Amino acid sequence: MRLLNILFIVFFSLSGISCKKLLDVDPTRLLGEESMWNTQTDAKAAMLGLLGLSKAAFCDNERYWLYGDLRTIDGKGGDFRSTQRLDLKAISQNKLTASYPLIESLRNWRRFYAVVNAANVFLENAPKIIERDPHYLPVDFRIEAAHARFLRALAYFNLVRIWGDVPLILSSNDGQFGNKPRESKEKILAFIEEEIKAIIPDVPVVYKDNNIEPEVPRASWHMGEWQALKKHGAYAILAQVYAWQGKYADAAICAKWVLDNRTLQALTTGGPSQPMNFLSADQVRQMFRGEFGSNQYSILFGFPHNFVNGEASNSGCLETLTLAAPYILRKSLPDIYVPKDTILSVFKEIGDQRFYIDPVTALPNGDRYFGVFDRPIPVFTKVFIIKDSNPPPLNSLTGVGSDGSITLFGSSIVLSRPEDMRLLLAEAYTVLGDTDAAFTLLNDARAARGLPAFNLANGSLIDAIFTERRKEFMGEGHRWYDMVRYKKIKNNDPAFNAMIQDGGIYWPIAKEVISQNPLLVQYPHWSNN
Amino acid sequence: MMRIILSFLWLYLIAFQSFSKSYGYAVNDSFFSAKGLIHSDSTSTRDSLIAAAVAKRSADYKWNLYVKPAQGNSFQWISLQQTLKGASGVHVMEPSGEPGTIQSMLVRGASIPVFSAKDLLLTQPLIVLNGVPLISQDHPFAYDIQQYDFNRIGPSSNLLAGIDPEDIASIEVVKDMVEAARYGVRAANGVIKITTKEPSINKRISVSTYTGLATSPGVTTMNGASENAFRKVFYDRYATAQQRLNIPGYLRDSLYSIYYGPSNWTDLYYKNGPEFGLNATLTGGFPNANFRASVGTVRNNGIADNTGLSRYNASFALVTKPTKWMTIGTSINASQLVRNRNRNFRDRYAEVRYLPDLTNPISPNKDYYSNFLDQYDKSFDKNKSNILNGAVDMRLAFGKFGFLTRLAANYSDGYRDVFYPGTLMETNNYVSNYFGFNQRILIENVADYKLDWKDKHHLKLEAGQSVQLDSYRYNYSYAYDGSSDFIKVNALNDPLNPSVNIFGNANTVGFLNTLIVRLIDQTKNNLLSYHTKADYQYKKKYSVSLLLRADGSSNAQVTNQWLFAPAISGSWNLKEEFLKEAEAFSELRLNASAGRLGNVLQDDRFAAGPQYVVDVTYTGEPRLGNYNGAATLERPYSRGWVGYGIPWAYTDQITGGLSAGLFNNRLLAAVDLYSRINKNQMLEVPAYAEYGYATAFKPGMEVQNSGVELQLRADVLAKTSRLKWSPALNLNYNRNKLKALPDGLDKIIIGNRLLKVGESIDQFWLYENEGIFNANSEIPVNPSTNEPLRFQNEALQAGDPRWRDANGDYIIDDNDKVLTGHSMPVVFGSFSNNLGYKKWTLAVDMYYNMGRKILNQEMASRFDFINMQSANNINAVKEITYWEKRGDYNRYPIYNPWSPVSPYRADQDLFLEDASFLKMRSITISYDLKSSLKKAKFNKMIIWGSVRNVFTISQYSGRDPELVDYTGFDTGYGQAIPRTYTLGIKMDL
Repeated sequence: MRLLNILFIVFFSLSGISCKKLLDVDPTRLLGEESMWNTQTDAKAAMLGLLGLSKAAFCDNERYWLYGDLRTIDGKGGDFRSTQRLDLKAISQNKLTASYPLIESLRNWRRFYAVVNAANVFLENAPKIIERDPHYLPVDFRIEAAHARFLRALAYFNLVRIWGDVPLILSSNDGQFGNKPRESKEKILAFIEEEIKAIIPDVPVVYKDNNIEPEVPRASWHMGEWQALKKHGAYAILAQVYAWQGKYADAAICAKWVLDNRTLQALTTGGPSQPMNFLSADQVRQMFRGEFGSNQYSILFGFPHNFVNGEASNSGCLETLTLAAPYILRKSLPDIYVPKDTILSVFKEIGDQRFYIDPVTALPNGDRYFGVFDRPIPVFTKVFIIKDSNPPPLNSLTGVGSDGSITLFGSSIVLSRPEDMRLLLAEAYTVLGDTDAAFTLLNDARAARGLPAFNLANGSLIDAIFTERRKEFMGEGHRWYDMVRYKKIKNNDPAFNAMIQDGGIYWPIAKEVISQNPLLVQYPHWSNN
Repeated sequence: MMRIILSFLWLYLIAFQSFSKSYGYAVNDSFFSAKGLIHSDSTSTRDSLIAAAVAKRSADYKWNLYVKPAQGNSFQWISLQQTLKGASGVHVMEPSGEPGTIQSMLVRGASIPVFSAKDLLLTQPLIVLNGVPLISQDHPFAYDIQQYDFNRIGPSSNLLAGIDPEDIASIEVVKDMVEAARYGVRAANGVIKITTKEPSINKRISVSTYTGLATSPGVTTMNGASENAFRKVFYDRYATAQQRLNIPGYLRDSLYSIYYGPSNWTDLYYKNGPEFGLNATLTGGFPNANFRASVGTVRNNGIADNTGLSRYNASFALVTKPTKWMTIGTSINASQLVRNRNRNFRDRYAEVRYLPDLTNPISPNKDYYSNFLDQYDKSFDKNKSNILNGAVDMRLAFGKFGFLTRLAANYSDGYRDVFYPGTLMETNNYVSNYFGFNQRILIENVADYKLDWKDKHHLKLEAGQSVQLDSYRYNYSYAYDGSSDFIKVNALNDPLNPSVNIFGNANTVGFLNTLIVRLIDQTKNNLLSYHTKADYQYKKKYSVSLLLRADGSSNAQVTNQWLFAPAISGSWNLKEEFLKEAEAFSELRLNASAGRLGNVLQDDRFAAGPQYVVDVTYTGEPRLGNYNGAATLERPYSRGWVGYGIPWAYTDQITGGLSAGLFNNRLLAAVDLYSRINKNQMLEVPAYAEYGYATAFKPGMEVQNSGVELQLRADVLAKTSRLKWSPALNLNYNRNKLKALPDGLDKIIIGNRLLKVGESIDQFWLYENEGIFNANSEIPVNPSTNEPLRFQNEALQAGDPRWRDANGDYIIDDNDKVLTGHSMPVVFGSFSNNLGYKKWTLAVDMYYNMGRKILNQEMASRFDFINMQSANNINAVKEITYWEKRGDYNRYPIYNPWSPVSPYRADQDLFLEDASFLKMRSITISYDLKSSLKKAKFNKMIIWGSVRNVFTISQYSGRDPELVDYTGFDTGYGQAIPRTYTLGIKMDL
């Protein structure tokens, strides 16, 4: 048969007939433009690609935590410090122009723009599928377009809070990639608000196999262990967007919507129970697991690293930076850690389930947050998902399978969870003057961690709220933005106000990016470097 | 597979034995020998390449230069690259002495700037074996899923080490543009043409065998004490109290025998490597059908880390002439390469894709080092490549008309199976399996017509067509944390039915499904070509050839699928024209050629234009393509934008030369000049960040290579003299220049390199080091701002280097870096001497490079120990050779290693050194025993002995200046090329 084929080829090549056919080899490694956007499957793959790119934007070089947790105000205020690595040390000292390859990569915003571009490409092309594939219904497009617009807005939100003014690009411009100047952050934030508000009606409060809401699409891509965007997630991110701008009245509305609708009946009837609960101190770690049990449903929005799908990784998780011996075998020291004096100054209150030193035994209450506290460099164990048994009670050294030999990490990137909304609402109420409501929310949060009601004798309410945030969200990428909001609320630090003015609260733009686009101008704070 | 080939050969023999009885005339024009002028089993040890070249020229109007396998009667180098080292026009890179590892060649310079192993593949010349263009390297598409490109996944063996030199009749570096163009668009980087030995009617058995020993180098070792002494200088001068406390654990305690004990690891690492070679050849047949069959084996052991290469060869060629007008040639060359690889940490970490804690190096003491090596007893690392080249040619001749049709297959596959036990890897064992193949099927038809008129005009017309169907594929899988070190299952097996539960591994045999990664990739491309050619010769005085060709590639975009390209060459026999009577001149000839050749694209992704790929990767996760368990599709944001309108890149070359033979060819000289411009080449440039792309592929790069090649050979003593002395000099000069960049850019920064129009593409881009600031008072202060000189954003301090502030802005940054030095030699070549006296011959081969620089990265890392101990990355891996004293520590000033400016950064000319060298590559002595054994029926009986890599003269302070890869950075990873003593015998019965 084979020989016959070859003979045919000889014959045809002699006659020259099959020229065109010979030169038309279908690529097996990619899809050309004309092969894409034809079926429902194409839309699904593009949609998942958009989610994958969003995840990559956050976890490339662990940047979500380096931007959020490691950066400090000139060496003060952050939780984490570098043990040895000089590039990480530079970030924790706010030396963001240092010439380390890692920092150069973090100055480069292109991964967020990949999300923007992928969303633009999707929004421009996916409508064609409705005509080409009868299985792709307008409702399918509607919810997927909502995702695309939301992820684009989320990318812009991160661009704007990391770099300030950034180019606003809302079309794919395929093949004619023109350079755009920076647009004012106000304009971009307004765009983000409008976009998220616009898509909220298009996303459901719950995804079910047996659809309760008629608009819910039938495609199954979001029906895995991980859930796609719900109204809660959109409101949560919108609340963060408002809070970042100081629009606390709007932020309060959004946060309150999330808190009020955490446990809708629809979330508990039929299929798995999916209410978004406040989590106990132990459940927090399980939440990061993202695959089993129901605690991951409490994540309002985030991105998973699932073992079951082969998406757990050596890199791209907080554990990459924070875990070390004895929890994993291959590293004797973590890359970053919370110094003991920081721990002791933050977790001062006896009885805090997260961490406290028992005054009698002088020993920590456990390793929910920090392990091997007897060593000079404790290990941050709050986020600690390595290969282990199903379902895990809690990761521990003795747990089945989690001997620390394998360093494929599986923690989710958690952008917001109910506790975030509760404390954000408390912050908003405080700023808006409704201190009673703020007290209640703060005390709820404290009670959930075994702490007594807050006493004003121990400091101001807003300080207490931010301290609680610091403790609750340590290692979840919030710290830097919390500090900025706190400083803006206090408005008592002229040096910091100057940084707001000259762009010092943002990151410098990578040289590589500026050399591609001469319309970009570095903020004065960074332009001398 | 061997068995199949052998049975195939057997069938052939039987078939043609019976066949031959019915016909009774001789095959005297086997097309295998159509141009074969040189037989490597001629009796002198080294026929000069020049003699061959001139002989070729006088016999044929075409202008070609030959390179012969060195010393056909003595040692044969293992790889084609080694054989070609020192040949005219060829620069060979042998970055490691580890047998069987990848080596590379550049013919007349590099056509593109080389940033990666993938780029290097794009610069390699075409290897043509008996007219068939070979796939000589594994396809680079596997690099797409690799974070590091130190080695390609799979066996990563040098496929050009698979050709048995005993089968080779001649090797030719094609310099004539018409002839190069005849081999098609893959020839744009030059052509190396290999002709194998032809079948012969003479019944003859030849046996060649040798045995030798590669000797381990003498090295000075170090231990914790010497490392500590080296560091003490820095600590005494600069360390703060805090920094003094922060001494790495392994150096902290001088009673710590693991590091402070005797440094005798070399006993286990370096060993003498025996080598062995055997080839047996049989020729014979009948007048109308004759054959050549050979089998051979070579074992070549490295001297370091238990490395080695075994090669098994079998080849068979048969020529039959069933009718007067038909000749059928069949040839099969098969070989297998089995490689023992090194046990570098770096390569293992790259394979397992994660880094352990790198704080403490391995112990220099053999008691501890042997514990480590013992773990390898539980592991395996099997590397095997099979190569099969087969061709059937049928030639028809009807008077002036000729017709050739050819079907050829070129196939190679590679296997690598790895198992690392948990004891090597934090109790977490690792298995990986690779299978990949490269396959090319060639179908070619050529018709020609010859016309001679009045014995003055000779015309030959030719038209041809060919199809090349290429297919490449690999299956690769790896898995972690099997249930036991005794279960080393193949992760490729039965992927659809894994015998594992997904999570707990208590009841699992083998590897968890969730911890297995399986990867498959495949690419195909076709090349369709038409050509027509006319050769005209007048009275042996003038000749001219014209070739026109059209090539269509499936890897080119539909709108630019075809490239039309011409080539022309001419030759003028000045001897015939002007000097017929001048006795001094036995030869004088002027040649010139010019032509264009397309550069065919390797990757099928360019044909598609704007595209969607499976790639949601991020740093450290270069293979990820799924989200939430389902495949994704997105624009190639990380791999680079590909647009429409990508034209064929092409090479324009113009070349000319003069060759002369004087005094009855006792003095031969040839000089060639060339200029080659590669146009429309694609460059991957950082671009479109605001559209999410890391890079974009843009056409428009232009690189020019120009140079001179000089060859001289003399028979110093008269032919009648008993003593013969023939020195030969081979000198190449090559310069490259970047003529244009995409988008009309003037310069572009890619990684740590700067490409600037008008400059060379192989230059280093470095800060200029001018000493040290011993005191803060020495640091210049900017009079306008009153701020001291800064390095980027750090103010310089005492103990920091004095880098030149070229633009005088009191900030040392990229603008102060200069382009300097060349990583490729400007002048290179060989100088050989052959002496003969009676039955003795002595050949001495020298090889040299000049005008080439090396950046001693290894020394930079050694001095940058503070940053190296804090950086847990692949470049900070300390191998066992960390304990070998290399380089000259006194060359470098004592800077403050804690300084934030990284005083020992590699990108400064402090570490740049002249790497010119002269190497005594081999000395061979041989003795012809034939006449002493007159009673025995030997046609030939030669015994020989040789020493290879005798010595190297170089100013380079590091090790052998050859041991550097395409970057010009000496990372210290290359294993030494050993001095080897060999004894051999060669006989024909």
